[in-house]
Amino acid sequence: MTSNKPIPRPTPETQPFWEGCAVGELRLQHCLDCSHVQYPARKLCSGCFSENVAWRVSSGRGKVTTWSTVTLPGAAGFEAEVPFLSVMVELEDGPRMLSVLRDCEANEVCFDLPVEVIFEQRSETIFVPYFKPLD
Amino acid sequence: MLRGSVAIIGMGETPVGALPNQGSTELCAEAARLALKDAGIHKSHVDGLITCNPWVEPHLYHAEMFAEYMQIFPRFCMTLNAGGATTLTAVLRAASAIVTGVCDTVLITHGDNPRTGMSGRETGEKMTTTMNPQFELPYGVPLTNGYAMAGRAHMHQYGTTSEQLAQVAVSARKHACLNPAAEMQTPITVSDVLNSRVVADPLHALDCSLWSDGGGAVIVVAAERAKDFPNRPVYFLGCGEAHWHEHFFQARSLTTTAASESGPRAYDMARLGVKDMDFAQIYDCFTPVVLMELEDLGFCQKGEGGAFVEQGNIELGGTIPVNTHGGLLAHSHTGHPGSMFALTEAVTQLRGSAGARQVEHAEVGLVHGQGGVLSSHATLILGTEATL
Repeated sequence: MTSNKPIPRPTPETQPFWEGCAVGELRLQHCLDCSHVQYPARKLCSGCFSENVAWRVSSGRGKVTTWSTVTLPGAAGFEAEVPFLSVMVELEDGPRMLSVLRDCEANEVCFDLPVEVIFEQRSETIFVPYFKPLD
Repeated sequence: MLRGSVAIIGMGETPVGALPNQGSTELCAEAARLALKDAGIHKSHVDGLITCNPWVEPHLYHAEMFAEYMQIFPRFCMTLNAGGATTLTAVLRAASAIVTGVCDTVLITHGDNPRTGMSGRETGEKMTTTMNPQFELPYGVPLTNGYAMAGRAHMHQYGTTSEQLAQVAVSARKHACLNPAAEMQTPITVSDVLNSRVVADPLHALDCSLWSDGGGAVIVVAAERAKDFPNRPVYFLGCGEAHWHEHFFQARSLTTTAASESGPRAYDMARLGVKDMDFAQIYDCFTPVVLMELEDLGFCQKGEGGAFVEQGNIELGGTIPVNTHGGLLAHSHTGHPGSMFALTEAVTQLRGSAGARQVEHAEVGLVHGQGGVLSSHATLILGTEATL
């Protein structure tokens, strides 16, 4: 890896999320008491404060709820990639994610565009979830 | 309990724009000196101090550092950090401290010089420190695109147009042209905005605020003492806050902000309604924010902000003059001190000393700030003695 892009540093509560990304799974926490699904991971359910929270593999599918083209990156390491499409993705499971949309031109993105997760390697152990239009 | 309990009896504003020969602490000090002079009081009477951390010369204990710098020795001393809402949260804390007897005379002072004190690269690097390090920063998406995504969602949901967004910038500029202290002194048109460079679609360069050096300060005391000073006091009538998220992807809504709670809280405390407001100085870091705030604060129906500004309602002479000093779009955007100039403008209007941009018969005004990306919201209502 020669990129100087920021590398996420997992914390104890997010470790299973990043381990999932490394094996191609988007993992989300589901509350076994109130059914709330949350992202990012937390020590407890942010809906009801239950600690009875379990990891489930998401379908990785969702839809675009808004977007904007990035021409001036907000961190080092992305200079060669501009322009790229920042998106808010509402997952089928419920939570909203900020991400970047790949394999899609700016004139092809639209509201409610169905998308699916892909993973891009950032370091030896870290893979970052991106999205692409659903085939 | 707080309504009418305290008043602003002094204010100071430094010049704004590119001020290459002054650091952020100096600007903070100059604003403080001007406010104390305006109030006619000596620094030894300041026993409460509230500052905010600047981007350029931050200190972990900024307020304590600043007290040391000024050689003032407060018994109430705090650094606040709610981004563009900081100034208004400071007024609420000053009022609370005075009413509870913690201190008597609070100096709220802010200063920063992000325009000349940091390179573009440094600015970018510092801005990234506000991002979620695991779930935002790895995507390289800057803050401007966060606001752009909110703006696009508003356009989609309510049919808001780029022309309507542009009108916000045009109106702000019109007001700035009446204010010799504002950075921008030439009018612009809707087509100027639409023809300016696209920074983060749908936002054009002229949909974005300035980036400036400058500082401002106010002095707050108990209402019963307010007439002991040379200026016409401006009274605290109500304040409300609402904090819904820090990182925008965690927002409860992309198009409705926490102003929909902070506003009603402020109106309730002030025992006034939106129709009673003679002007509104509201946070305008990017044009879509103004539409959302106008809607969420009740100046128009949800989703009708675009049509509302297009009809000229937010200009001097309109139903609710907004950002009569020029706002962040045309007066200055000094970073965290940004809302201070909205506050000092409200004081100026309520003193009746706003000159060419004076709102006629201004008795009650609203000031609203927001920090982060539509994150922390604070609404303040101020009035003249007649409104007590």
